[in-house]
Amino acid sequence: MRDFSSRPRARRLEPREWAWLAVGALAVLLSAGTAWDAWRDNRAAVVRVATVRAERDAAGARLRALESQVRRDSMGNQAWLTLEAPPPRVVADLAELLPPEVRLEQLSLKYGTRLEVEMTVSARDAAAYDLFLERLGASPRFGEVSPGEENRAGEVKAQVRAAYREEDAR
Amino acid sequence: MRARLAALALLLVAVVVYAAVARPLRQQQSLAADEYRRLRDERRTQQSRLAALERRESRDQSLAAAADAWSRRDVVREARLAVLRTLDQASLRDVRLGVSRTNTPAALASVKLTAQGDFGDVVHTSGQLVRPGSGFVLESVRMSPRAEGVNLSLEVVVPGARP
Repeated sequence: MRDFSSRPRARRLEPREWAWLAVGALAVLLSAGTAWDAWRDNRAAVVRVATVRAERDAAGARLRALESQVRRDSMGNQAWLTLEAPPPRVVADLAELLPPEVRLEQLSLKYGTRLEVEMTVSARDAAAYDLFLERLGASPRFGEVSPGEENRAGEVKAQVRAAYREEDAR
Repeated sequence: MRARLAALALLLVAVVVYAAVARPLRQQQSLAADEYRRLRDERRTQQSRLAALERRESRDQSLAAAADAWSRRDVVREARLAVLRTLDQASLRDVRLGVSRTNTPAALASVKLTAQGDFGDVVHTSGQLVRPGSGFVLESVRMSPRAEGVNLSLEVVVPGARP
């Protein structure tokens, strides 16, 4: 059938126009895809945050409950220190810090609310003794290092006091 | 012309979707990642403290159980036998042992031991005496040099309250 109407015919799109439209559609698709990815990743991140927050809160609640339960009296601390820092452990920790030119002559451990370590060391020279003190001071296991009297010429023999730090951060 | 306008409109929609939706969501995600790292570090710190406290709680329970068990026995005799059993396994010499009841409220008995031996034996025995489950709590340990080997002077108590 022929069309005799006077209405103008719809113009056919030129290839360039098709290209414009394709670019626009592609841009919309790309941005929608990016938005979808961002939404999905954001949702996953929010879930991860909620999970880790719940775990932190649960650990915090348990921590508070335990804090009030554990014995903090002298005997409780002593028993804890006896288990956590028996003499072989303290000796091993000290041995790791001793330079080859330094010897442990005497060792005294007093267990109470904390573990007090008193030792007599002899070093071949002052530099070796200084190195030992430096290592002892830097060690996470020992604190409150208090060196006693020392001679600086020849072999050094000195007393050193320190407090042993067990793993439990009170 | 219409096709170009439509294409421009589509580009505009794409820009708006990106600017109004995708970009803010990415920023939120970045903030969430920072928050996640902060919470994860807090959780790690708490869990490590928790592990230490749980060990401590377990130690409190075993201490209470040991104290209860000691209080139902002849504590001096049992403590002496327990030390002797450990000494039998050790190669120490010049052993002097004293076990007595105490008058302190938190301890039932006190054990004093002096002995001599090689440094390694002395250190090992001092650890064996207070091994987990022994029921002994250390008061003091002293290791000092002797002509032959090392002198060990050790004091432990048996924790507990009299019934």
